[in-house]
Amino acid sequence: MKNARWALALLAAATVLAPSLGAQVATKPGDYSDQAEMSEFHELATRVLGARFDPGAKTAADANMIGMRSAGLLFSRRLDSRTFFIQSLKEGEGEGKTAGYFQGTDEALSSRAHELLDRLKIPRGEWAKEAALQENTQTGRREASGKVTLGPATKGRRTLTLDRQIEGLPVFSSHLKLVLDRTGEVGFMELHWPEIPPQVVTEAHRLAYKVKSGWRAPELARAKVESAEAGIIHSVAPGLVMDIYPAIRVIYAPTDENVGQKPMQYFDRSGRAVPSPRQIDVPCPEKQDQRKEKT
Amino acid sequence: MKYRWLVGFAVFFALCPRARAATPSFSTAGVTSYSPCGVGPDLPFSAPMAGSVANWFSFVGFPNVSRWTNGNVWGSDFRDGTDLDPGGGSDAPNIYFYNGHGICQNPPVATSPDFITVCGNFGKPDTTTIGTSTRWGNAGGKLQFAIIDASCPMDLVSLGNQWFPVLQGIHVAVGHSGSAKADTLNSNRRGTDFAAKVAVPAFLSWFLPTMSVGDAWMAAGIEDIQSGGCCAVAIAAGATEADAVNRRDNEKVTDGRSNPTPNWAAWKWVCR
Repeated sequence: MKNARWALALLAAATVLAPSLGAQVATKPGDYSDQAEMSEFHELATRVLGARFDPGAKTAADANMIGMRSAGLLFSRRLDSRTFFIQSLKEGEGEGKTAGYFQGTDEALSSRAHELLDRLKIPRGEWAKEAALQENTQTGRREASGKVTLGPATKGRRTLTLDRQIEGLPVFSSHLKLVLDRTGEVGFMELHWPEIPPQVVTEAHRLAYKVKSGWRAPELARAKVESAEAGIIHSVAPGLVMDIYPAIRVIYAPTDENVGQKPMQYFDRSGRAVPSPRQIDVPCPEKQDQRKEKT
Repeated sequence: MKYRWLVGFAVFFALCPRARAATPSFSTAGVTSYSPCGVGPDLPFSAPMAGSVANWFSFVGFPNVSRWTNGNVWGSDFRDGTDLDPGGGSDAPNIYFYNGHGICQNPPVATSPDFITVCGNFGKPDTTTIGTSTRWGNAGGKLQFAIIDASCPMDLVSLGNQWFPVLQGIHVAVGHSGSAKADTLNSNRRGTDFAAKVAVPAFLSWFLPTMSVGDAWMAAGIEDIQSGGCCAVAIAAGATEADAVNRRDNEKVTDGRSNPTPNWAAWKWVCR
């Protein structure tokens, strides 16, 4: 009987202590175990961000990603970059629009974006231009006669975009894109804000100085230079590698205004093209032979 | 008794979206070099971008039909009657990605045509008027998703006139509306970002959002476009208005949906 009492007491103590021990595991310095990693991520998702997962949410990691997912919500991040994704997986929300759109003001959308950035410790000094982009929708019907009848254009969801700058230099490839659902919860978020090495920032400053001091962009036939601006480029959000380059972005305007799509190129200080940041590192498929006209 | 497993598997296969996810085929075309044709300017990122999109789709496991660049992209690839050519026609695969020049009006009006302009070795002429010459999804055409990463192939003001005839079985098409003052920039990221939003390799699919074609373009299509009136546009066809709206908002490249009867079109756009 005495032994049974001790066993019950131990069980009760274990039950009370287990969560706190788990938290200790998550914050214990130097603990690189999978369990600690999952605990930390769980804490980030639920306590820091306040994400509301359905019961049965799971946490997992693979390749350069770690994520937490339930039937209605996905939250994940890259392990090699300060890049976060949130997607509502509920029917009719997130991507789907049948459940309606966020009806709040642009200020409310902006305020929610700022809250998320603060919670994810994105330095306020790097926040740059933001805009609430209005999506519009329309339908049309083709009559049997071929006549097309258009319906009215209506307002759809809004995407808050927020650009990035470091010490006044634009980071062309970084951004926040945020869509809220009708309840004000996050329907979609892509926060792509990788850490930039200080040497890259320094070189970007030098490039900016050169642009101000008369650096000339390489010429391009049938186009004229529209703008030249120094900044930083890097790989896109979904991917398996992260390349980062300081670069001067040159936008060219076609001399024939009817020809559309403006050439854009990224150059180093010598006017050489900077490599395009990669997304994956896999061998290219074999080159196709020269295409021949059918006879 | 021994058929119970078989029945169970059949039910699972029918109900589980992942089990019945389709694997679409794809083609890419990118034109960097316009100099030989005396039109231009050249577009440095177009051919590399088409290559990167092809790499990503191949990485995901989609079968490739063709992947041409520069002079091997022909005007005839976009015109009805020759677009079924499995050697490069735009109606031969399920997904077709094009990156190159278009032609813009400044400003366009409701009757303004939309154009795709290449610089081909054969298959002349190089410029195709989309509204009168392009028909996708008809006569055995397989194209379900057209990604036209050019300049102004989808001018909003002329969308009703120019794009209804094109929708002959194709599910969703995406492009831009703009002008010389607010144009698309020849991007080295828009195409691959879009590709990675609509198609995710199996080992990452648990972690990365997989988006509908329309939503992925609303997110990626606004990258590297100029403010002041350049817009990412997505249009879908449907038998009914609800069908067209549903495809515009929700259809993914792996859904494996049947071709729509194009009684209705639904489109959406977002501008910088």
